[in-house]
Amino acid sequence: MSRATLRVQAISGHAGSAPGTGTQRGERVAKLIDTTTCIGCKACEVACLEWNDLPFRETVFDNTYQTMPETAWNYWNLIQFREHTNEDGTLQWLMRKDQCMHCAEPGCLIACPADGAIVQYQNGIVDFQQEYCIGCQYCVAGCPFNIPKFNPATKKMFKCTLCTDRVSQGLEPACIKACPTGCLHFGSKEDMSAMAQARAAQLREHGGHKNAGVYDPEGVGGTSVIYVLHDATNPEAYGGLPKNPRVPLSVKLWKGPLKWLGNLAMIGGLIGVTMHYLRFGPKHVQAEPEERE
Amino acid sequence: MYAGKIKGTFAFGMNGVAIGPNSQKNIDALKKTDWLVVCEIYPDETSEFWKSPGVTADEMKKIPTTVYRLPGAGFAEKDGTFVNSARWLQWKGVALPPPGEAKLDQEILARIFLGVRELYRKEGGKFPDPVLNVTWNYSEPANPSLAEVAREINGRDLTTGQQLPGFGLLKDDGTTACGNWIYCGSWPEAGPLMQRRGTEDPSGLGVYPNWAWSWPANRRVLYNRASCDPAGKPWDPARAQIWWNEAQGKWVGNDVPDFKADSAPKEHMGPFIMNPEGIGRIFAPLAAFADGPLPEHYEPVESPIENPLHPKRSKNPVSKRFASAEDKFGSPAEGYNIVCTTFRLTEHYHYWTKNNPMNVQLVPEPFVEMPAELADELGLRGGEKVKVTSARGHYVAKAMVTRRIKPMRIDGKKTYQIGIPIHWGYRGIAEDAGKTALTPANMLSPAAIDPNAYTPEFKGFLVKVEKV
Repeated sequence: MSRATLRVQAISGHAGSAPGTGTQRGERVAKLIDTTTCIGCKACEVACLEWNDLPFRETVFDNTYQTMPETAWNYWNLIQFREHTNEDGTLQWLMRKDQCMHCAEPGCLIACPADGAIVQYQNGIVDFQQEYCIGCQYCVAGCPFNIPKFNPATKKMFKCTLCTDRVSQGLEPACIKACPTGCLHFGSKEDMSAMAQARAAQLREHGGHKNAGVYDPEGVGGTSVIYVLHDATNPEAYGGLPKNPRVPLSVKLWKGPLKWLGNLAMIGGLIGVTMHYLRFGPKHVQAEPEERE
Repeated sequence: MYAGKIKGTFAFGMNGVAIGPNSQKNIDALKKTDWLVVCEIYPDETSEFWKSPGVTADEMKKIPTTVYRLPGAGFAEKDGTFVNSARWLQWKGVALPPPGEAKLDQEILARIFLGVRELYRKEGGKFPDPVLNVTWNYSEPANPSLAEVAREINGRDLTTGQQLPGFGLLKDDGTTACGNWIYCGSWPEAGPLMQRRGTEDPSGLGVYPNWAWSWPANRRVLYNRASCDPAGKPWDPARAQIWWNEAQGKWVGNDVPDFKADSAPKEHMGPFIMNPEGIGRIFAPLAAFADGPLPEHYEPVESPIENPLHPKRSKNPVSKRFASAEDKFGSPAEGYNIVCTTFRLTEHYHYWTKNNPMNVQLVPEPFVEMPAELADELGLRGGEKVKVTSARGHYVAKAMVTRRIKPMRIDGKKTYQIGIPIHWGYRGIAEDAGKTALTPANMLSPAAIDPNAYTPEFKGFLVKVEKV
């Protein structure tokens, strides 16, 4: 990976194309999470906090090993723990590392009205630029994975950056470096997809997991974070991973056809006003007839 | 110490009150000492035994112990080796210097030793020879470098001054010196082999002979002669560790042979070279084991059932138990019918990380993990408090109700098991914030000592559980 892959590919709320589009072919990066070898140690959670210098957050015991119910503006990486009963009645403890999926078609970016607040780099990383964030929280509506979180103190949105600062210097994300079991991998999307498919095939053929598969959902154009699941037919079991995530239709309409309809209406209005002016000329102020007592 | 005979103790990097069985007895033993020296990186339960739960202000005044707390250095602040359970000595570097007035262990120990030696010189004392005559030739006597210590442990030839290449050259005539024979060869004249980072694996079998150094003699697999048939050929040619080379007349291979190198297979020397008969033992004669020559099953000192094999001799008759008022054992007849174990979390490390906000964030407070069926019987939901009581003490924390621990059927009886993480005590972030009951988990556990290895059996014991 190099700085070149940090060339901006898409910009939120931005008219026209991103500067430099097409001048450089970026290599898409990806994180591979093999849920079948995660032991739920949460070393990745600590690595994320430490690298990103996120402040201490008080937590409460809640009858679970899960650190908190969902990710937070200052907690971007969370292992979701679920007790799952298999068809044969046996119990399986599922652990899934939950963080931004870095969608190829990012709902947050599509929904965002602030110019430059969300960017997608050519390497696939979707990154929030807090200096341009207006705190409207539209990105929350755009995300099918419940990832962007609002800091009420600063009125800015935050989420996992896929350690874009590390990746741009040729390093793996902090979570990957901290993983003691090797269930986390990082590399090009192509390599990670191949590795994920090979692992899923191994699980199907030799691991007794006939439904093992890779989670790289089409609905958002694929993601730069992909999972190997024991049972890819039931991603919801892994702490609510949506089966077929999509950017909400309302967001798509709002930022697509409706936006153009709106523009059309506005331009049509202007044209109408102009035509009216040309046809009828400026409005003359007529002297009101004076009322007499 | 509990009997009042030992008057003081040093605790370096060992929170004895919390880590061993029967914490209350440990605390009560420390109350009888004149002095206690604790070297730690955080204030711990051992150094603050005098304000453990239940100690009243009046009792505190009567405790005669002077506690000296020394600021030690953390592992990342020291160099030296970690030796893992695969027997590798792996050298590590210093990440950052100790903060504030904290000092390296070797400086603290050296300064204590030099002070004691000075007192012996001036005032004399019992058994002076080892203190007055010990070799202490470090370039900085009050702060020896661990590299110098490691060289010294490897050993040298006192005539030539050369570092010894292996334990085969050690002599019992006073012409060689060595700190520990198993480490001899780790720092020969060639240099510190424990610092090697070679990642090559010529055999492809995962041997990595040039990564660090493995005791003894850089041998990666002990008793590797057993990987060959009696004729000296590998049982599995695809995983050949060593083999007999007839032409060279010696054992060769991918690992260092753990065998007399020139003993041909026809000499019938056995692979288990530390046993006179050279073979593994199922029947171990000549009082090798305190509890008899054959393996035998005994129930733990506290068990929900009598030994199904021989109920009249249910527990190990020679396991060591202390005879004191605080060494009590409970039985199912007295209502102690739930099996309790203690365990560690991946999120915490012993009794250190309860002082680190990062780790506290991951798991903020102690809990008692228990089966859903038991919680139902007690009318208890996850997050509500439970009281766990053994014959020795009690423990109060929130319940973590789970389906992961299932009830067991043992000898026809439905038996529940619960588990308690060990990581909390009476000093730490959660403790200081008043979020815990301040009792170490080991206040519950019994001291029963295995008669051979002297390992205390305190990971399985009996308790009662009730809703608070």
